[in-house]
Amino acid sequence: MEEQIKQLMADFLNLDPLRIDDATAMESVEGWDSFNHLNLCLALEQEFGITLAVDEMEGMTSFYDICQIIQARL
Amino acid sequence: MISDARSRFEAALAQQLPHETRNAARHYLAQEEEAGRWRVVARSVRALPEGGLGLKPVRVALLASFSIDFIADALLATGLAHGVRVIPYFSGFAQYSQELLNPESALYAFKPDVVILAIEGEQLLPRLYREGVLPPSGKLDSATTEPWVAEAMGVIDPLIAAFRRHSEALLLIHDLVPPCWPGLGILDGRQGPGEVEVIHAVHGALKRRAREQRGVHVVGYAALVARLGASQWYDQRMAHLAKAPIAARLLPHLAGEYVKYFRALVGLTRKCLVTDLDNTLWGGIIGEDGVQGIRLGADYPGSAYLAYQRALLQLHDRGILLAIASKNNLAEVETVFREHPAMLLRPDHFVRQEIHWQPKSLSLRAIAQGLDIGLEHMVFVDDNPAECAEVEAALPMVTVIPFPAARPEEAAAALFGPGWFDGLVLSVEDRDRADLYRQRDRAEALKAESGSLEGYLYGLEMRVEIVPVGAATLARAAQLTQKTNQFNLTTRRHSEEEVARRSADPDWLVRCVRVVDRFGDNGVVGLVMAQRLADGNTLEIETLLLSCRVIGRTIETAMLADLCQQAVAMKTGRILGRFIPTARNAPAQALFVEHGFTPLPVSGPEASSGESLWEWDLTTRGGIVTPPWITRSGVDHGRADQTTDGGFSQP
Repeated sequence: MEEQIKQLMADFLNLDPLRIDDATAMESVEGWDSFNHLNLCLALEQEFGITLAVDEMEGMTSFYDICQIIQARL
Repeated sequence: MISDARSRFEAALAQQLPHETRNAARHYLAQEEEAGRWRVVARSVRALPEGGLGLKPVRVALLASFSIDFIADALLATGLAHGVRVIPYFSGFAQYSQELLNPESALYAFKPDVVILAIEGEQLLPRLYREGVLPPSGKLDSATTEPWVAEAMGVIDPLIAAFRRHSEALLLIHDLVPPCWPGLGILDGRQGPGEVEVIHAVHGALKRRAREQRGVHVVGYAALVARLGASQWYDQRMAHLAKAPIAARLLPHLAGEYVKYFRALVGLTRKCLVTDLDNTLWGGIIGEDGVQGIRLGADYPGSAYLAYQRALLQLHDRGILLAIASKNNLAEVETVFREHPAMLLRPDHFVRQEIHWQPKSLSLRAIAQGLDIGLEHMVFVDDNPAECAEVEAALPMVTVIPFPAARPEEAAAALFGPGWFDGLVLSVEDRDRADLYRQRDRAEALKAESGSLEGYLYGLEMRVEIVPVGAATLARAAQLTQKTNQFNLTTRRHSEEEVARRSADPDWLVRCVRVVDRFGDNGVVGLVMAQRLADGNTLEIETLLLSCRVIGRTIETAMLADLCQQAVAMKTGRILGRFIPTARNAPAQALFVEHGFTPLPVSGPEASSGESLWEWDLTTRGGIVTPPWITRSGVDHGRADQTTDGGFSQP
C-alpha cells in the first residue's frame, strides 16, 4: 500500500518516490498545491477503490497522514 | 511499482517511436486499475518538444460554466494516444460570456483551433432545474416549451454570433443533461410539457442552429452521460468542494468525445476497416465447423456476431471501406457468403478480400496499396491476439482493435466507442465511396486494356467541371483539405469557416473540381485555393489537391489551365506555387516541373525541409492548355460569378 501511495505522490507531485518519507508534507513540497492535491486525492480513491469524505481529503497533507487515512479505510 | 504496460509506454517514449508510443499509450491507458495513468502520460506530453512524436498540434480552448480544469491530464493523454498534441487553454471559471463577446479577450489571443463551450443545464436554465416547469399561476396545462427555448437560445445565440465574428475555429457546444429528478416526479410532462420535454426542445433548437452555422457542432453530452449513467457521472462532493461536478474517474470519457473532433480536424479519421472472418465475422471456424456449424443468427452467440456485421454495414453505408484479411481457403469462405442464410454482409460490401495463408501484415499492405490509402487510415479487427500482435509489430501505424473473443456482444461497442471513423461531415462522395472505388477499379482495368496511356485517357471520356466553391460544395471542399494526403502540394488543413471566408474575399480564388467519366460521377475530387498577393500582380497557390481516386488522369493540368484563365481575369501577371514535402505527398512532387514552371530560390528553414518555390509568368508564357481528352463542362462564368455563386453572407 505504501508503495502505491508513494508512486502516486511521485506522479502527481513530481517527486522522486525514493525520497518520500513520513515527513513529506504539503507545506514543504513545491508542487503540492490545492489543484494537484485534489487530483492526488481523486487518484488515491481510484487506486484503492474508496470514496473519501471531504474531511479526509483535507486531512491528507503529508505522506504519513495519507497512509493513516487510507489504512483506516481498507 | 511500475506496471508492464507503463514500462512499455515509457520505453517507446524514450526511443521517440511515434506509432509505438501511441499504441503503448492506448494499452496503458486501458489499465483501469492504474489510477495515475492519465497523469503519467500527460506529463510526458507536456515535456515533448514542438512536433515531438509526430503529433499534430491542436489548440483547444475550454470554456465552461463549471471548473473543467480537471480534464487536463485526460485530454493530453487521450490526444497522444490518438496522434494529437492538445495545447489547452482553460478560461477562468464561468468566464465564457466575457471571453466570447470581447474580441480582445485572452481566448482570441490564444488563437484556438477548437473552442469547447460546456454549459451545464443548471447554469443555462437555472429556474427550470431549480423550480421546475409549473407556471406561477393559471392552469396547469398552460406551460409551453417556447419560453424556455427562447431563454436558452437567448444566451447561446449572441455567443455564437460573436464567436463567428472573431474566430474561424471549430466551435463545440455541449447539449444538456435533462434534470435527473424532475420536480413533478412521475407527473413530469403529464399535463403540460415537462422538464425533460423542455430540454429536448432546447436540443432541437441548438442542433438546428448548429446546422445553419459553419463549423459549429453540438457535442452529444447528454448521450455520453446517459451511456455512463448520470448517477455515476456527477460527483456532488466535488461539485460543492471545487465547482467540478464531473466524477474524475469518468472525465476521460469526455476527453475521448472531444478527441474525436480533433482527430477529424487533423485528417486522422480512419477510412478503411479490415476484418478477420473466423470467430469475428461469425462464430466458429469455417474450415472445422462447416457452413452448418458456424454461429451466426438469431440466438446467442450467433446474434452477437450478427450485431458485429450490422455495425460493419453501418460503417459501409457511411462510406467506410470494408475489406477482409483472413487465413482461410477461399472456396469455403465463398460458400458461407453464398449459402449461409443469416449472412448480412455480401461480397459486394468488401472492396478487397485477402484470403490466403500469408501473414496478415502483408494482406493489410496489399489492401492499402490497392486502395491507395495510407496505412495510418486503416483499422484491423481480429480475435486472435497473435495476429493482432503481428500486425501491430510489423505495421505500428495501423489501428488494431482486438475482437473480444470471450464477449463477442461487446464488439460493436469496441468498434464505435473511440469514434475512429468519425469525420466532421458526411458527403455524398462518402456515402458512395465503395461504388467509387469499384468505378476506379474498372478504370484501372481499362488502363490495363488500353495499349497506350493516351488511349486510356481518351477512353475515360472525362468531363471536368471547375467552378467556385459554393454553399453546396463548401463542406466537401474543407473535408478534402482535411483528408487528402497524396496529391496535395502543401497539405494545409482548413475549416469550413476558413474556406467560406476565402470564398467571399475578392483576393481569393477558391475553386473545386468535379470529374465525371464513363464509369460514373466521381463527385468533387479536387480543390484549388489561391490568393492575389499585396503586389496585385501575383496569384499564389495556397492549396492544390486531388483526391487519390483520380490521380494520374492529368486532371491537374486542367486545373492549372483553369488557374491561368482565372489569373488573367484577376489581372495578375504571374502564378506562384510551392511544394511542401510530407511523408505521403510524393505524387504531387513533380507537378510544377512537368508543367514547365520556373524554380525560384528558397532559403532559410523552408529550404532545409525540402520545400520548393515555382513561378509561371503569364505575360511571357501565356496560359496552360487543357489536355484534349478532357472536356470542360458546367456553367462557368469565371471570377465575376464567384460573389454570387460562392458568396457567403455572414449571418
